[in-house]
Amino acid sequence: MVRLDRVDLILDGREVLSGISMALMPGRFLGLIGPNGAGKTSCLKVILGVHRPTRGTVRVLGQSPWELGKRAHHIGYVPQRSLAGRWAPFSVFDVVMMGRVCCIGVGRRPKARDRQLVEESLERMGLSDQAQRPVGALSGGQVQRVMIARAMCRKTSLLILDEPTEGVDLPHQERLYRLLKDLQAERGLTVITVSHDVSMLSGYADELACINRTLHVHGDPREVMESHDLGRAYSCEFDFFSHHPHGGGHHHHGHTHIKGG
Amino acid sequence: MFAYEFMWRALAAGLLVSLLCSVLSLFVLLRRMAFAGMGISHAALGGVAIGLLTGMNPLVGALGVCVATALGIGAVTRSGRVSPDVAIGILTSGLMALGVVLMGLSSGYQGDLYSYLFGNILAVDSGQFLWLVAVAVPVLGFIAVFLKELLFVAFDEEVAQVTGVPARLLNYGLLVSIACTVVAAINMVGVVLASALLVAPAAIGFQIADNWRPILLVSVLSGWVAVAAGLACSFLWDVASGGAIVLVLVLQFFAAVLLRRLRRPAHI
Repeated sequence: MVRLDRVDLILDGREVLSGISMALMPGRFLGLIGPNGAGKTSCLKVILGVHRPTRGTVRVLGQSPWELGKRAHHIGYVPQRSLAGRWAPFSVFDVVMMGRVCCIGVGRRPKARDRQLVEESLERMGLSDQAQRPVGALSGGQVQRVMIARAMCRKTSLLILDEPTEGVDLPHQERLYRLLKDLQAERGLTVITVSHDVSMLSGYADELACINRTLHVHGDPREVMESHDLGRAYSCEFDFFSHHPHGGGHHHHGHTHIKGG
Repeated sequence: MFAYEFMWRALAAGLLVSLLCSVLSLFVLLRRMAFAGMGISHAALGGVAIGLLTGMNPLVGALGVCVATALGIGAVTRSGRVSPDVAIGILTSGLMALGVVLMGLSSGYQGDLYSYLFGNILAVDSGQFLWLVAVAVPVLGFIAVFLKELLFVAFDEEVAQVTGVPARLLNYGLLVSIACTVVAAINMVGVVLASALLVAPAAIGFQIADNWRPILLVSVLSGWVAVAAGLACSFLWDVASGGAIVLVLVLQFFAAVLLRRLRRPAHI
């Protein structure tokens, strides 16, 4: 589904990513973690084709991301802080319909089928009753579900989210991750989520990859959490409380003593 | 007052220019491009001066300079090396200064200068009206064809681009449309006041409504009301038509702000 091979990225003369190699199989849920400024968002943008790697190769759905053409419709993207500080004159329905723009075609208006898909997507996200409200009037958690509805209202097979839980309260964070997990199971969706909230994400992701300019560790969440490489990536020692979606928790070693990162 | 043919022509030209400006003003506000709009309109003076001195149609000169300025603003904004505000401020005030210097080289253009600075819609002739139509049709056509894509890019440029919408091309298309519209508005309100027509109509709409559709409708209607009322004031009290039109727009904006305050807190 996604393959990065020795990817370097230099932005404004600064090396943001160095020698990143990883592969993600279809239907998997990857949590991309790392400290602030570690290059997580840049890594997503390389996968999305927004940034071209300085060296190395990227393959998404078997092709370079900037050569996907109409296959780009299969990628859903939820950016960081989608509505932060902004007011926009669009209803929730308008915003989700934007997800259909690439499918409708230039110069054409949405048809009944497009409206039906938008309504279905809103219903799946539990937002049917909010459809006509201004998107700026919603809470942080609701806005993120609108953005996921927008990303999912077409034949999306890869969903990429950048810090989807930022500015969202704890119960809604859990609801959001559960929703992603359900979508993954229902539609065989591949999910890549960036977060710096490692403990919450580790309870839902199938695999974790920790980036701090280079890829420090990638694998099963429990193994990653127990890896010394994780502490090195964050330049600190950890006390993780791994959240489990079906109750309970799992303590990992170390201390909550942060030296840096 | 409509016994005079020039009044009918002025009204038709005013309504057409106002329609163009009102539609574009929605995108100018959504993209927070008000300063770019002002910059492009001020840069037009350099083009007018080049046209007058070289003997070509000053509006053709203005169109060339405005389009070049719009493309320059687009390139600078994308490069991210210089702040767009700084680039627009320097580029456009430089072009306006060029216009003033070139106009000053010959004293014969002072009358022309006033009409290009502040406009005179009552003097619009058939040739200028046709010029207006030639600008309005492609600009309105561009917006009609790419409406949903332009709205998507205005709301979330990065996501639009990732899902295959040609955001960069649409941005340049919008900037060139603004440049063409500024040139179309010069006859009506002049270089100095053209930017008001690119901001005020949608600003009124944003005070009245919460969704882009009614905002667009209010924007167009307030523009038309300003043209009709401004022309009437100009005819009845012999005041400058461009200034009267913009003043009516500004009065509508304050009325809309007041109305919104009475109903709920303002957004913009």
